[in-house]
Amino acid sequence: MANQNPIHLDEPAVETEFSIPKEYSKTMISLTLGVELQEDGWVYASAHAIYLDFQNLYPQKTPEPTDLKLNHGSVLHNKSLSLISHISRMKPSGNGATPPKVKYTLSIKAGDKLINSFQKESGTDNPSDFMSLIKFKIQT
Amino acid sequence: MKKTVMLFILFQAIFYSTRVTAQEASPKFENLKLNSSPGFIVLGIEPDNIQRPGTPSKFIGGILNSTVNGKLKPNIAVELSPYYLINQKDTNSKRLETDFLKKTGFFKTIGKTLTISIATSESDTVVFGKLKPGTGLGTGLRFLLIDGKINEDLRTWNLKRIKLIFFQSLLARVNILPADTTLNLFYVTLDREMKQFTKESFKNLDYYGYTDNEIEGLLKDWKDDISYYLATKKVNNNASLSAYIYSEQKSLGSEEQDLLKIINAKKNPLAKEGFMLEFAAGQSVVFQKNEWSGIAHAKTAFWLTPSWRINLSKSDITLFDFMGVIRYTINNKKDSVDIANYVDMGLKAQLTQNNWSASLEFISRWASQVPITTKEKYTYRLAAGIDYKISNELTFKFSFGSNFDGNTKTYSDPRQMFVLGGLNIGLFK
Repeated sequence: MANQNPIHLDEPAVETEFSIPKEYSKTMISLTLGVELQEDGWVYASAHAIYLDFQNLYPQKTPEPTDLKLNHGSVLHNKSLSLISHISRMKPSGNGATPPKVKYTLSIKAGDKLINSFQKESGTDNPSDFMSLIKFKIQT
Repeated sequence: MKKTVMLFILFQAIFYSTRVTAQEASPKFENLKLNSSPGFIVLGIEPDNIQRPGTPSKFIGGILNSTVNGKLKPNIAVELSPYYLINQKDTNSKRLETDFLKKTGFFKTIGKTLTISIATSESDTVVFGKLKPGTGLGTGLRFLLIDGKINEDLRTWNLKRIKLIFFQSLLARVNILPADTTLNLFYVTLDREMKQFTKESFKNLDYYGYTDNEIEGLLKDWKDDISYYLATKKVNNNASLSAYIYSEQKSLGSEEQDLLKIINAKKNPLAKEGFMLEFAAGQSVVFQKNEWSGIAHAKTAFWLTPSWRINLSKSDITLFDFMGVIRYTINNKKDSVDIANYVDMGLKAQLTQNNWSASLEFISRWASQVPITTKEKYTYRLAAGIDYKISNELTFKFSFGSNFDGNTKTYSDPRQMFVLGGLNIGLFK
């Protein structure tokens, strides 16, 4: 069964299983986040809380991590990844009545190969929170 | 011919810079205020003698119309910031650029705000005394000694947001704690988060610059709030712990939302407020008869500009600026630009509302000596002005009043009334 989109917008995350193909059991699995504003003239401030079990993987919080190493596929089996991204939008030139939507992307790769990429688009509420709770499983 | 060569060199400089910055955004109203650049002031053609410092730009240029020898003439000025030329901004980035909002030390403030300006105009035969008519070239620099502070809404938003991120970090941790987590284990988690937040997260997220002690104090307050809640509500399982932290961060998110609405509704949400102190220096030379060999030093000046800004409106742009100036000008006595040096002291009030700006400035000038035929050592400048921003690149300017007479020969009576209207054009940024 295909992996389900684990991203929840402005609501508590629900644990979602993420299946890692068996051939990646000895490959480094990594996480990449992307933030894209749907309108020019706006800028954003972001913060990402990323925890794998008890370990804080990204204490600096910002900017968006690219290829953040999680661990080898087999080590991730049965481990939980908890992720909250907080995006605030601002219009430096002023007069910003309606903030642009945010396109948020969460990608999981094995080495250089993309396993899955998920997207979620926010509304015009500002700030926006994208919450994910992923339980890794290695395919048997 | 020599004048043509000079203009060609200036044109090349402008053309090159335009190409370098072609991909950048249009210049903004605040950035185009070259009127009071030291280069213009030492040439004596400035419509504003006192102006509040703005945010420096990598490279800006503009055309300013002013009266020279009784005729309205276009004058060109360019100003560059060495700091922003070296530290190029990523103009494609959509991340909030917060560098200029950070609290900086004294010398870093100087380095970041230093700008160098060059201006040219036809030389005024009164301002430059007995020097032969030709082309005036003004060069100058200015920098801030005190750079104001970010507005209160922005500071409150920043702190609120950081507290929210702290709670979200806790929530992300609690989400993966075992269901039977004890309060003791939670406190171990809380302490671990506090340590990491203090050492790494806070400083990376912080846009204003809290000291280590202030950060520790803030985190201790947040921990006390959490401990008080857990003790009074008898929270004793992971689900209720998670629900409590979620509701706290939700409530902080709601407060942040209100603040962002206020900040984004403003006309200039990132503008600094409060007290600023700027130092400037300038020097002018005149190429007499427009010949290289006719170069003569005319004036050197140093001045301080203190200014205060109060934002009178939360949602609109209604700014009140109160400014002053103290200036010392050394004149070339050998070539009879003037027999005296000048000390200027002045005040200015300015009200800015949306696209309009109205100002009144008064500057008293004292000469170190005057000719026997001149009775007074004092003269003054009194000028009122209105600016209207037509677009980011174009400002209509109207100024009128009495100006300094330019030298001590007619010093007791500044009869030189001026009325000036025209367009200021921002060429590039």
